[in-house]
Amino acid sequence: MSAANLLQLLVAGITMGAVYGLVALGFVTIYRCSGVVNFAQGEFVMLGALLTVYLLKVAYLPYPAAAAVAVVIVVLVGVLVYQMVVAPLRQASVLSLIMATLGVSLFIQNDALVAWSARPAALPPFSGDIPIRLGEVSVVPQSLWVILMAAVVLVALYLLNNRTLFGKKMTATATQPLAAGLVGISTGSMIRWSFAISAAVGAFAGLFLAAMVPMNFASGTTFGLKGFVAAVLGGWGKSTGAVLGGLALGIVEAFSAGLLPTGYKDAIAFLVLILILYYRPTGILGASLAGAE
Amino acid sequence: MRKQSRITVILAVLLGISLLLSACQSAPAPSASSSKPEEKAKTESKEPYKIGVLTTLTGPPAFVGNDIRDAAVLEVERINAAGGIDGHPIELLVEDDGGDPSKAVTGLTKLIRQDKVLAVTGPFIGPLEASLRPVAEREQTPFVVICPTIPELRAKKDKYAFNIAQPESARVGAWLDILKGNKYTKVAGITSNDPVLLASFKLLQTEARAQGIEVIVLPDAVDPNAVDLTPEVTKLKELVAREKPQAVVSGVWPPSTPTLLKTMKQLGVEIPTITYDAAADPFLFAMGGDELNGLLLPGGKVLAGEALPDSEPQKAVIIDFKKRYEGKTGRPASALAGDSRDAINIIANALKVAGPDKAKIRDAVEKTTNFVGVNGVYNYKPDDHEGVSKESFAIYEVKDKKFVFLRVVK
Repeated sequence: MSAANLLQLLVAGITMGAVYGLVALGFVTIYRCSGVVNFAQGEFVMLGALLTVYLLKVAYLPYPAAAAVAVVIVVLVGVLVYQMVVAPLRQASVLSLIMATLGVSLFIQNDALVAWSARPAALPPFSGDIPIRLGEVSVVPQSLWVILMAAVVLVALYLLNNRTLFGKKMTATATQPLAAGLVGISTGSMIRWSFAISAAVGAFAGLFLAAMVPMNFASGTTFGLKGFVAAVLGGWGKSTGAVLGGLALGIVEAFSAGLLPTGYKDAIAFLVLILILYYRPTGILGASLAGAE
Repeated sequence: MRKQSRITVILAVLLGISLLLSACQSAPAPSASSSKPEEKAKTESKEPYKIGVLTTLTGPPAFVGNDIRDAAVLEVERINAAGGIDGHPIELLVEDDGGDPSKAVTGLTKLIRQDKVLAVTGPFIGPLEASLRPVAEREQTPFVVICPTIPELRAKKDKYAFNIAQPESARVGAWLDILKGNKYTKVAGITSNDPVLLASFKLLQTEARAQGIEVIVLPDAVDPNAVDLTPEVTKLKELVAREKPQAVVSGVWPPSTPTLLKTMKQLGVEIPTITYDAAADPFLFAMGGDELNGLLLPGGKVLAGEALPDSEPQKAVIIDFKKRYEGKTGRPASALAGDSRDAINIIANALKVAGPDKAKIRDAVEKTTNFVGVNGVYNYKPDDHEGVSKESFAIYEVKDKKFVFLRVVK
């Protein structure tokens, strides 16, 4: 395979990797604050995509308005998930919480199936689909949008966590909930915020993604799983790790599909995961328990 | 705490409103949508004849599965309104196969043993067929399968299974019609990892060679569930650069077809593309736009409708069906809806001859000759349980989100 084609695969890998990374960021944001693994994270991605499609093509809102309204609705759904499912189960075991979020995931999926049928739908690209040619390598503008989005979200989360009082409160909630409560932080409200932020990140990932590939009600499962793998790969609980893990997964996938028979793509990706976890059980950056970093 | 619960209530109301809004906007649901017996007959006097429908009503492929149910309900209503089969109304029983082989086997067994249907039609998902045929065979129940079959299953010469969809020889015949029509002598092939399509490409290579056309198939089949096709298209790009084919024949699954064409355009693989009959469904246009322009494909004649030449024997049947189906469901009549309509009518015709005896119904289905349906003109024979040939296909070109009828395959 020529160098140009290898670079092409790298571009494809980075693009998909940025999407996985965004989904992983959603997992990590909730986990860091509350210790909950939210398996409905993929559904936020799907809802972000399908709501935008609906608002754009059926309700005829302008593109930016459709996207904004979709994100707001997904954030409300995220808060609702916390309020109605996670909050009442705060005292339950982790296993029960995981089961509950899986239930939420099925619930949202099937509502989406009823509301929009199962037909895949796509969004128009944000800024046309004329590829930018760098020598023999073509880069679609949408790829750049996705990569930019991942970078912006990562930086924003970093600043939020490390430079604001609000972020400090979230970190305090994660590190020592009891002490945080004693100094007057409303831990419940902090965790609610983490669900809101995760839902927003997921919705953005979804609507950026739908401009590249058609999505339907079941797409959330695929991306939820890949995002989870990315989060584990990068070092469970770390934001930068999530993005790194996403990029690593995307690049490994693209190269294995491009260089080997394509059927091995998932096998190779999961083999890499097993190897990394075997030799480095804490992920690329080393896992952090809720609150470290 | 009180503040929290107030927020909960407000949010719940908001979500409820948004769900309601979206539900109101969606298309009107077909009137018969449960898996209960669909029809109360006008001719109550005689015992109803039961026919089972096994289709996918949940899971990702459900959006086409509904077409099969709705077309079957429509036909049964029509037959019953006209007095049923010698006064016996048809009772339709619908089971969901969930797109899953084990669920499908359970559904088929339930239809046959518990509901005691006389014949079954469905499913349209290829991979389910292999596990269902042995059940129909064991239970000695006529089984009119909607999906196409594969050489391995055909070789088993099942007595009770018949197929509605075209065999790969018809698809290859249609492809060759397109290749010869455009005077192509060297083409590339790319396909999803699907036994029906792999068999089609194998046959295409042999038959094309006999007619002086070289077909170079990309050795790696595409993962049907792949989201990003850049790696596959990169391989295709290398093949195109090396072999310089005049066109690409694609057996990539229809949901991935817009992505394939978009990716080809982005990576600069500018080459005419031909795909296969399953993509001939309007759902293609929900996913893609301009990149689909120029795509050539064979497909059922139902899409052409009024555009068909008057000499076409299927034209009247197709126009009548389209009018009734679209009037009732508000959705365009798809090839699968037509397949389901044909299956119900083939079974009803056999019931007319055979009465409620499963072995006799099987024999009568096998003797179906010159049945003019929406999908084709069927002639089943003891050694041909597929009954249609390439002449049942029309050739289309995609232009501005429409399938433009070019010609009937000869």
